[in-house]
Amino acid sequence: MHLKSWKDTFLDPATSPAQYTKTLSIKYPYHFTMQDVGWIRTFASVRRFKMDSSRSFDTRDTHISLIPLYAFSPALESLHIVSRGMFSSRISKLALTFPLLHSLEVDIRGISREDYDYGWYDANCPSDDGSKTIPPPLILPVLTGTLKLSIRGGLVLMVPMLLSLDGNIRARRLDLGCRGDNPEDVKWTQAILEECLPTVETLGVYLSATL
Amino acid sequence: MQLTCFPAHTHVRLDISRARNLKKLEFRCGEPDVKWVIETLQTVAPEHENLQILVFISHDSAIHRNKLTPLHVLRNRPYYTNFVDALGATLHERWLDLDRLFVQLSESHSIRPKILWGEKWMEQLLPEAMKVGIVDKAAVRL
Repeated sequence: MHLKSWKDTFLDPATSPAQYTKTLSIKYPYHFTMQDVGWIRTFASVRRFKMDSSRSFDTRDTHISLIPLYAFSPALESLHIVSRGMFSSRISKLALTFPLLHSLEVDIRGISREDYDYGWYDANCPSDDGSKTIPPPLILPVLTGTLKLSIRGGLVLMVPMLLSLDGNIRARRLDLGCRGDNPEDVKWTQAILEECLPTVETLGVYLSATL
Repeated sequence: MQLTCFPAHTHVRLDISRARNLKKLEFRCGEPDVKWVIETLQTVAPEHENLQILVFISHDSAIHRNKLTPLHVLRNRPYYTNFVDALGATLHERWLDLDRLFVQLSESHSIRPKILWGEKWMEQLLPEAMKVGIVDKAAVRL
């Protein structure tokens, strides 16, 4: 879906086909504001959601706020985010707002570990301050489907949060991208595997000197 | 010029021994270095009978990064006759280790690995496994 085209075509969210939509894909979500919450929530039956902000001329899409998407569909089962540099904690917060979520795919292609280590992110990217005003979810999702992580800055940016869910990671399929020159990635891959030992049926690992 | 490989002291092993319900294991390698494949497969448990194993070598990234002539390598042209030399002794030795491990796993766990890479190279890199026919050459035509 092209965001602007959709909004131009369906001026009244209440009469749009949004309520019947099961699969939603958004590209270039650069104009999300809190004013969009109303029409986004009309997609309340969506089960599979993909957002791809990776083909931007702006090589770092860190400025995109995900707050308007929080809990937009209580029926959401699958979340797939493709980004060039979105901070993984924002994606984690978003994922935790969908109680029925069972599959999570995150592909962050741009931000480098060096950026992270040297404070590039903190210096240049405002946080999702509004998230502080959103109450924590009453029901945490249990990831029983696919967990796919490919994070340029390292698995450490996301896996510790997932492990903190304390038993809610029971994926049947794990698909993890590792950097061979980053021993921590191998460690975190093993950690997530340990969490899913009773359930994992398919394990896919990509290992490279660069991700 | 040698291809990139993991230093001998680097541990890149994943321990899958306690993942008792594991049915499919996919290795996607950015380099043609199979050290981590070997180390991980050494943790296969008795429960892993008939485990599906897929090894996919992402040839282009490795070949390009190491500045080997891509057309010669990727298209398997006749004048590129010795791929083993291009790999270098260390990587070649690791492939031979994998070759022996595949044969062992075939005998002990009825495992038939599937390799996605150049078909001709497989005969050079996995001679024993290819000879006894335990590797499925789901080879991409390069």
